[in-house]
Amino acid sequence: MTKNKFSLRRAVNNMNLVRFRFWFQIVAFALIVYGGYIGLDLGDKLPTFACVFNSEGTGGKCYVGELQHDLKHPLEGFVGFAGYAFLISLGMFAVWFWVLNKGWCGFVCPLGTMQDWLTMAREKTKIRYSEYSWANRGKIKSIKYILLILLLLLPVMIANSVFGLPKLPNGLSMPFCDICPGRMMIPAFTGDFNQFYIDFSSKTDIVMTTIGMIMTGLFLVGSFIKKRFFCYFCPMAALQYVFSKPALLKLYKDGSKCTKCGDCYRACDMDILEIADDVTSKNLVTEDCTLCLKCVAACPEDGCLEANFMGATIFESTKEGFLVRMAMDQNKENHAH
Amino acid sequence: MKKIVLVLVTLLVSLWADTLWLDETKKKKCCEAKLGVLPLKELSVKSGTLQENEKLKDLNGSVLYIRDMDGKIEEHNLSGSKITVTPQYKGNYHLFLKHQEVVDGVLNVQLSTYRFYNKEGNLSCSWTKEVRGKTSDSRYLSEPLPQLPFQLMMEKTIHNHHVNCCLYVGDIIPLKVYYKGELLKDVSVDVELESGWKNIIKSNNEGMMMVEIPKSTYEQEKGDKKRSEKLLVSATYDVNESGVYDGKSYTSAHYVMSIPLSFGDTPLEYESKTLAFATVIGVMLVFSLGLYYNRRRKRKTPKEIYFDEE
Amino acid sequence: MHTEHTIETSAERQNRHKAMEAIAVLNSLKEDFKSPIRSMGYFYDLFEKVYCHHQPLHEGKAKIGTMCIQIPSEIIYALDAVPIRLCNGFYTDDEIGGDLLPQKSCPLVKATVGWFASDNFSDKPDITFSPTTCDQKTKAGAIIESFGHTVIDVGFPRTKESEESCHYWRESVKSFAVKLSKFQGKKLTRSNLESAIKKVGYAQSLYHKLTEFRKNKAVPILGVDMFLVTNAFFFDKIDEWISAVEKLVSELEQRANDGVNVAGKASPRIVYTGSPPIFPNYKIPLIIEQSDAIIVADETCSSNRMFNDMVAVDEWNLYDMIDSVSDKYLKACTCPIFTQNDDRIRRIIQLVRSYNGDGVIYQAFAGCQVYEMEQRSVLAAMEREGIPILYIESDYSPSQHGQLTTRVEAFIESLKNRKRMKK
Repeated sequence: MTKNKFSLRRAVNNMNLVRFRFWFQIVAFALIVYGGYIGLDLGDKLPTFACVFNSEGTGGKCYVGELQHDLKHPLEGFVGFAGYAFLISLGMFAVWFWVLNKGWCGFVCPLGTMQDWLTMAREKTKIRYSEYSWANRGKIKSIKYILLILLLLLPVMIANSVFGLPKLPNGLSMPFCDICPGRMMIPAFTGDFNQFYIDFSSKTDIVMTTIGMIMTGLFLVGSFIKKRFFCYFCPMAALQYVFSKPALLKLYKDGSKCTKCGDCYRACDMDILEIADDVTSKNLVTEDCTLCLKCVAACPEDGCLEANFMGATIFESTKEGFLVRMAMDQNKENHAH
Repeated sequence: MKKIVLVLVTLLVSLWADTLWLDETKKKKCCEAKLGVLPLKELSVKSGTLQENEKLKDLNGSVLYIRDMDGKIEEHNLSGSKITVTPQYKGNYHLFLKHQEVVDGVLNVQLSTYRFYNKEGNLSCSWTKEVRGKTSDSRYLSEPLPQLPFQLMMEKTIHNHHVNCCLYVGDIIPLKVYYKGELLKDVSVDVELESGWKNIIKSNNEGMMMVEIPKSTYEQEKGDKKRSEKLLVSATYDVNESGVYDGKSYTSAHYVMSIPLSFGDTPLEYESKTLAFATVIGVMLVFSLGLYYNRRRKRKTPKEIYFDEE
Repeated sequence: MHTEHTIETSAERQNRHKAMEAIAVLNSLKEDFKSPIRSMGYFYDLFEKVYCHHQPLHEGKAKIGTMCIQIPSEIIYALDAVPIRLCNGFYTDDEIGGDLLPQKSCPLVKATVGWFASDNFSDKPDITFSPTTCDQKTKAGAIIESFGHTVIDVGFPRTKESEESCHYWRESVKSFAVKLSKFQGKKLTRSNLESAIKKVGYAQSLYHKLTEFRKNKAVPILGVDMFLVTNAFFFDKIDEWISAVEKLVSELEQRANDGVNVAGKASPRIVYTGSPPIFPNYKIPLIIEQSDAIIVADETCSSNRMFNDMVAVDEWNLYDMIDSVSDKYLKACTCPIFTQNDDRIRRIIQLVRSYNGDGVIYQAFAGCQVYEMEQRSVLAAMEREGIPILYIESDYSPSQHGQLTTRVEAFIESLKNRKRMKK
């Protein structure tokens, strides 16, 4: 009787997250990459890589691109309309972001989805994944912040003379877009390979576009061999993390129920140690978290990890769910003889 | 023989037709507008070709339609020699000029369209638009304007390089001609460049005209990334129709519509696709081989890696 | 009439003594408590068969001896062998081992060594893997080897937080798998390891189902019975164990619906921790439950620690499965041999909270240094949490019974008073 009452909740907690995420990501990918063809337009403040260079197909636009574009204006201009518009944009970005928190990365981001597809391909070929050593893992954390500061600073320095320094060449106007593999990969999915080019018009352009090509090569091989390879360096993740605290979707952990078995850490594509070892924090959305919820699905303790939306639990770890997902809920007679 | 006569006739007609076009007076520098002051666009109307033209002094009797990115159309009766537009929102605006008069029993309708992107806006009325963000590409119109009896319409440019925002040498501009909302099938369009080059492009069976922006062969113009040149496309149409306009009756009508555009030198001049693909594939190869050998080395773990007396 | 007089061999005498020890405990389990469980019959019979009649269970199968829980049984099952855990609870074997090891050694280790010294098995392991866990077990492996048994050490780190120990243990498990697969002449494959992981996982899930019933107000199963069930997993055929526990689960479900309580209404609920009670050394659990208390949960390596944490595989390929299995046996382990052991303390507290425990009984074998050393920190933690705890040192000898009973009874009495005061 009591079981019937909670049947929906049970069904959710017992769901096959891998399959759910696979289809969710496909739908999100279709909307973001091809949505433009059916007239979808979610605006240009999306906290995910909806690439502007995919001009016809994109169902919205990436805010990091917009941000760089906005900042490439003389500072005086920000006193007027441009300043207000900039604040509205930033606020709107935060509002979009708060809905899904880092779930944008784990469920929506087309670049993330591509990486997950490459991971699936590797899994099929039975090639082992690579991991960073813990020391390197700690070191590379700061790269995304460095990229974020550069992408904020360079456009400003093109339009303004900061600290009396000479203005930068215009070739750096969208510095991150130049090196973002999304610029190459996302339009490629609509059959547009025009973004694969090296621009010889100036030295800056040669350097930036060449780095872009190198990044694309690294992206393709890297995310084949390392889960979510690019996300470790993503400045969007850094920008998002600044706004992460008040977000509506959360990953909560009840440390007292944690046995530190490390199952969640094993499942984590971003190798976040805290998810297993931190038994005191409640909010486990760390800077690198993509809120993919694989940790929740891999946790065998009742109610230890949960995805929480505005105070309501929407998906939590249960023993039963764990057993169902690991196919350990019934005795299979096909064991080795 | 027939062909030559036809060409001569069309040439004559095109010379006789007084093409009007909208021209933006020197653009103001960004951000000169102070807080609370709305951006102001000033345009003039020119008559003639790109090379030989004169500014119209009196615009009395002309009508200007302003279409914003939401499709809302404002109508303005013009006077004086200047056109001033005060756009409220950030985004694309399409202007349509209509000038018509009856001369010797012929209704002469001169039309021109011009698009500009407005960077600033009036915050008090446009903040909701800013919240929503840019609407889907409003650079091109999808339907002819009902206010215009005759219209030359430009569709999305086809280009084979990486820049979406502007027109470049080598880009193909698809054009269509509408008369009273109907697509005309057997038409042609005159193309004229600032440098003097001229051409007539005929439509295909579907009424589509494809104008490819020609490459400059002038040595001194090559490699100048900032070079910008004007391009004028115009279409004319004569039809027997009678009526009365402005108290004068007419028995036939002559329509002409122009679109002034500007384009830059091709980015293809500076870009290499082959090298780009080679870089990507090269990086992939080096990276994968590196991974492969690193794994093999780890699997074997020869002692020399861990112990080295030197 | 002609009666033949034969002189009892030492092995026969050993078996007779062990049978006496075993039957005494089994009888006590069967008869001393109210509302016995029908499906426990399988387990009583199993232990009687093995320890009183010395019947072999796994004839024709390769038997792999394991010295501790850290040897992954998934890999053993995948390679079509049977794991036999060699932790021993017999005083008879303890006495034999006592002659070979220092006086103050752990009785469990002494009993295991004594078992090998007498070489008297009903299911003799063909090869034994010894993880280097505590000092005594580590050294015992070498002593057993000197008796002519094949013992292979499997390096086990004594910290679990560091990256190095994680990698070290993964490598250890891999080389264990290689050695075992050579021994078996069989390859470890994706499919056989996958089905072994799922089978062991299913067995663990049954244990979890059993423990769920112990959260009820009316506890339908005794702690000692639970110890017997988990103990049977040491050596039983896994499929038979599974079907017996399935039956037990459905009977407990019935009992839970009927509100059957094996304890009294006011019986204090005990969480048991420390050195593992291994058949027939159920001395302390029996004293507890005979003194009108009920063990609702435990934190020992013969029961909870063996079943609680499960293998989670992300990519069902061999490379990831082996790593998952290794990680489970290291990261989740609450064994006191590790340098830090906050995890064990947190586990005990969590058990007290979720099983509604009234107090903790912490037993350490005299000579089990790591449990003895960890006693202070656990006691301090329990004091902080306001959980009453009793620390007992015991061994396998039957002599201390009276003194232990007095201490346990006094503790239980105080828990009862506390409960009454709370009301």
